[in-house]
Amino acid sequence: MTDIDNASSSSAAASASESAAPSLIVGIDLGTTNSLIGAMDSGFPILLADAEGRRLTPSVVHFPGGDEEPLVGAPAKRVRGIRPKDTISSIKRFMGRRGSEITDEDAIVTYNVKGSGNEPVLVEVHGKSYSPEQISANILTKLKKDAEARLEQPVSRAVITVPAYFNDTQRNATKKAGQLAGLHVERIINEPTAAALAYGLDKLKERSRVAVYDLGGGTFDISILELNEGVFQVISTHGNTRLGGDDIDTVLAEELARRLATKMRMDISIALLARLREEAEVAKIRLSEEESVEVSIPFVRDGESFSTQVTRDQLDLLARPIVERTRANCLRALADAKLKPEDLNEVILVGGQTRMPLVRNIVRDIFKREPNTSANPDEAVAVGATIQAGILMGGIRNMVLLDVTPLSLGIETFGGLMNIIIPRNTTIPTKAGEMFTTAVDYQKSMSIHVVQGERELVKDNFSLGKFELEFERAPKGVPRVGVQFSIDADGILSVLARDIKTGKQKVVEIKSVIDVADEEVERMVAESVEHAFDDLAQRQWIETKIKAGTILTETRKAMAQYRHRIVDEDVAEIDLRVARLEAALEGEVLAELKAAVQSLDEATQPLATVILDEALESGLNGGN
Amino acid sequence: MSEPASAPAASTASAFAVFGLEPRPLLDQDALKEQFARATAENHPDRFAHLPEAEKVVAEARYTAINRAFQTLRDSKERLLHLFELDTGAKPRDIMRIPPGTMDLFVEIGQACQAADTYFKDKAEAFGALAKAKLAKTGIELLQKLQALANKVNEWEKGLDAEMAALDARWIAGDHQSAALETLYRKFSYSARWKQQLDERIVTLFAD
Repeated sequence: MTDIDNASSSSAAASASESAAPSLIVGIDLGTTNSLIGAMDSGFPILLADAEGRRLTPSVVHFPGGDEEPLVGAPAKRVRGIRPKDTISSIKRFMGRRGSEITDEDAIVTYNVKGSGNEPVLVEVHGKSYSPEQISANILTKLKKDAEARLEQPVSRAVITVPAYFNDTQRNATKKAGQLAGLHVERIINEPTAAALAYGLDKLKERSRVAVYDLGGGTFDISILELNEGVFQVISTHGNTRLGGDDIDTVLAEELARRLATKMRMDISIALLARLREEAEVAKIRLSEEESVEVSIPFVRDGESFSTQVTRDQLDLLARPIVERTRANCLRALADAKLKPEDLNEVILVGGQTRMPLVRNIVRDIFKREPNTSANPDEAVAVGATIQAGILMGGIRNMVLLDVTPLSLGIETFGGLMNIIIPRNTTIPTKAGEMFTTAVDYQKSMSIHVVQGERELVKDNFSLGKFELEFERAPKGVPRVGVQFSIDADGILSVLARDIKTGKQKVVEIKSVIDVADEEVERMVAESVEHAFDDLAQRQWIETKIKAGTILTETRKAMAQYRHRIVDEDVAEIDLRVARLEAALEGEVLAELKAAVQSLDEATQPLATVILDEALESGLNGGN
Repeated sequence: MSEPASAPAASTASAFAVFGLEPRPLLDQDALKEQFARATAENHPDRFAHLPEAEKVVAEARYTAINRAFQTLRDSKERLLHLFELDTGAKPRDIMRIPPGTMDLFVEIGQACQAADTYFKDKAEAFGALAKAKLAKTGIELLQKLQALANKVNEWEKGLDAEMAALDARWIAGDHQSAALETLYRKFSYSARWKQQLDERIVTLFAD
């Protein structure tokens, strides 16, 4: 989509003020890595550039300290490498998350992340705590200002996109971020669905089935849609809100760290790791075009520099396990839609990470077809959000989007089991009711636990919160209260309870653990234990040691049985690396131990292949 | 969201009536989908987003009812259950009776799913290429077993479709057998549950 020039932006402002009633709604893609904003102009979705002419705003916020205003976007990204602790990127990973959901892996960001148990996650910079909603609001405020400058009118209403697989709490957090930025969020829509709108804009007379494969910086979604003369109906959706290009940056940065540690015999500081991550991201992007790139880190130690060559094959080897994880989601989405790959007309690629040749190869393999790369993977979602804004303003009357709820919604029943009330992939808006009564005489109330997720046990799913259902005291089984769960077009839940006897009804507040009072937050922050890096290093050492033990035992066993089935060079290599791992176990350098474990694991690949072949052979025989 | 104006729709309201259809066990699914797409184009709340709040609430309630009716009618199990409730004015009794002649299949599916879950657990705990390779044989055998069972369930469901067609023929001739309706509903219920359990594990095995 094209940039907007001054002439057309003023005419858009003029036409909006002529018909003042339906004020403008903008479309926003609030991404993990980059964010964009757009508006309808004379019937077309247009993305808006900032004062420097950039449509892509890096989702990075830098706090210079003191009373200075935070920097947002490209200027913040520029200082990230040198001021990692005061610069927040990929905040979307923490939206609507609780302390207990944050893994050690997540905690390894360059800035301080706090929160444990049911507490909301907070980011600490210069001794002040910020919620992920606040950081996101900083990004939204910048987009809003840019749009206001381009459109020459105030902007106060928006459609914001979220990953399709976001749960209720994450959606609410996104809405909250909008409010904090002074935006009335007219609609939350799913990113892959938005991309489908952009794809289908010029195909409104057609009927087709498409899959949208959306691999962004931090999240993955797969959605399957039916396009039927302007009705865009999502059939199924799946995804992973913790999988994206960031993870590829991380493994490549770790590989660079291993190389650097081995070559220069030193442990890697957090600051150095931050520099390696910046370089890893750049190298990864270049390797989509080039076969091999050189990574150089000047002044690693006392004027010493480090440089190393990374090939596309090496990157693919590291990235493959990450990208392969999208396969299960795709297969599930197809199974839920009751479709086979050949029933689809197109597979559309969205998200910056889909530029990677490896991703395209894996998509080709899953869907058995050439993926459609005609959409700009960075912009399609924002264009779709803008189209949805046009639909809501009433300007676009021949398109309608029909989405689904990605996760099953249910309540806890006997034995901690999940009782599904609204199954996943149900078209929204929807509602469903359940009748409750008492199990004990003269019971006054009961507690209802609302849960989202696909697992059978409540404890494996995501708890949205609890509420008390009150009864008029009566013998057991007599009170009857109907509870109605509604999911609106934003995919957000509301609960209505109705006493059947009196006909009284009320909206039930679900106590989300995220919505705690401010003083409560302050107290929790004060008491919360920091994810201290020392502690983490120690735990990693122990974990790596255990892994080393396992792999040594397995290797010895396999060598005893299959030594003669692999070539002599491989035997020698394995023996050498076993010795090296044993030596590393005696040492104290974590990076070396990690490298030794991985290097032995790689060397045992020929042995693993022998075992796999045996299994395949017996599997085939067994099948006959 | 503020307090919705409309009361929860009574569960006895006919989903068939929403689409102007006669209540019966079997429906032309393609025609139903067409009707739903047309109804969506006309009634989706987004079409009314620029109107005053009161009208938006009415529009959302109207569309939610259409959507619910469609979800009920498109699924054999849900449709039969709804028809039973319309016909008898009551819910089926709350019993868990395994459909006749399916006990063996029931047990077989249960065991295979348990074996798969054990395998997933072992696999998650295995570290390194060698430990994972040792589990591969079990994985391949499990996949074959689960796929064979899924085929069996599909075959069984084809039989159910035939039963449903026969029931439908009797139904439109005026012979409303609510007991047969309930039995068939339960069979579709089991079939859906089994398919879901098997599919979930097959997909996981395929992806690893």
